[in-house]
Amino acid sequence: MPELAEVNRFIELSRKTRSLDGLNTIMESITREMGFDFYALVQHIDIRRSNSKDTIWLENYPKSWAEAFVAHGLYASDPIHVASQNTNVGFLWSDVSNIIKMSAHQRRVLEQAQREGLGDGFTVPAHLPGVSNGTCSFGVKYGKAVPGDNLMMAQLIGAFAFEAGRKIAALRAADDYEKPKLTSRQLECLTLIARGKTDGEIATILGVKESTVRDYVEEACARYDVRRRVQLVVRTIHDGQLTLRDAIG
Amino acid sequence: MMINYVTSSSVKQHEAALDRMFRDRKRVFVDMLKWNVPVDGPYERDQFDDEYAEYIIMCEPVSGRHLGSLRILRTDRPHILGDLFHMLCEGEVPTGPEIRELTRLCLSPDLRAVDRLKVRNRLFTTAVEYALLNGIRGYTGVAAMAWYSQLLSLGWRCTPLGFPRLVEGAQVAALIAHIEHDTINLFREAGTYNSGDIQISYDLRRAA
Repeated sequence: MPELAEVNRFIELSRKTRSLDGLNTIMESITREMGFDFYALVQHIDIRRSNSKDTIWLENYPKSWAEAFVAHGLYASDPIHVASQNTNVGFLWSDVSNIIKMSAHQRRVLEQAQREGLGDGFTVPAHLPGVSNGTCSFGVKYGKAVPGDNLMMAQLIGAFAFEAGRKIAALRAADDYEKPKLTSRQLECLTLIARGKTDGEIATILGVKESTVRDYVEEACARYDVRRRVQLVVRTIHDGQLTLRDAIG
Repeated sequence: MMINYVTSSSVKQHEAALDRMFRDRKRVFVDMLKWNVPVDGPYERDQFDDEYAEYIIMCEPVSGRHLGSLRILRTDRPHILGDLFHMLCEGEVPTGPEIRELTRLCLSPDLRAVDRLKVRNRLFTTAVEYALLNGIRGYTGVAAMAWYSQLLSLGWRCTPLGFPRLVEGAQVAALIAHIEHDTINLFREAGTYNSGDIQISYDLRRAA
């Protein structure tokens, strides 16, 4: 019988962990405790194209299946993912044909998953306004029955797991962005550019050669990986190196 | 956007806001969501909308249009979880002067998606601020699973009170959101902190 205390232990641990590795360990442990073999905590985006770290993709599916899944872009046609868009509550994979009308291709996707060792499972959708849809799925090895008594526990764990994943992804995205540092000379030039001065005027104000001003600005552009001065101004205002007050003067 | 905090002592001064809220509640819960709840003419109003019920109501300042609202019930009196859904709690229903129940979150159906989020965040931020000012340590609630995830996404620390169950065809579950010294920061981290204007603190002080 499922125990609420176990769910609460999971919630406490998952709130404390700040890394994907940590969350993976906790997910693997609760997955086994519930009587499942595999889990996948994912947002439905194409991770081949998205290089941003603020999306969730954590799983311990059979390796060959996970690789095939990503390589063939199955996130879009995978019947489990498609079905998850049509419901707000967890569902058994064996019930998917009651939720969506499966195409021949989608049936083949499920058959392929079974050949790779993935049997039945239970998927909890996570639809949040303003956030890419996601799911938390729990699967069993092919030929094994899903632990029917623990589906409501899996439903709760899925909801809290998605929230924990979202928090870690947000932290990673925040850490990932390192503000480029500008020298005080570069910032002076930038402030004057923002105020509409030409390189010649800036050179006069700062008492340096015009070519030196150009060097400062080019170096600042390189640090921000932008080509144009207007991009540089917007970026530095956005990340707070330059304030609007500086720019308006 | 203006927030009104309504207690029984301030009903008179907020009559128009209450009227619009009860009408929108009927539109949302009865007409759209088909909840099996009592209807009172053009209003959705039940036995818990009594003199002890309190409300956070958000209105447009000029038109007075209802944007969204929340009902706050005392848990040492009849309330939804204690009286109607106690079977959703594995243990005792959490009650007492420091626990309130949040019910009837109603967002105007006329709002665009982006505004719905803003109004939702503003209502819950106000509920947290109200709790911190009044020594409330937790809000209990009953939610369908879709809402359950949204409640978690606000960022506060939540604990399930039981496993989900099917009630009238919908899977619902009970939970408690803890109000603690860092709850405002958790909202900030989650990007859901949306504090109100001066109207809130004024009304809250009157209410306290």
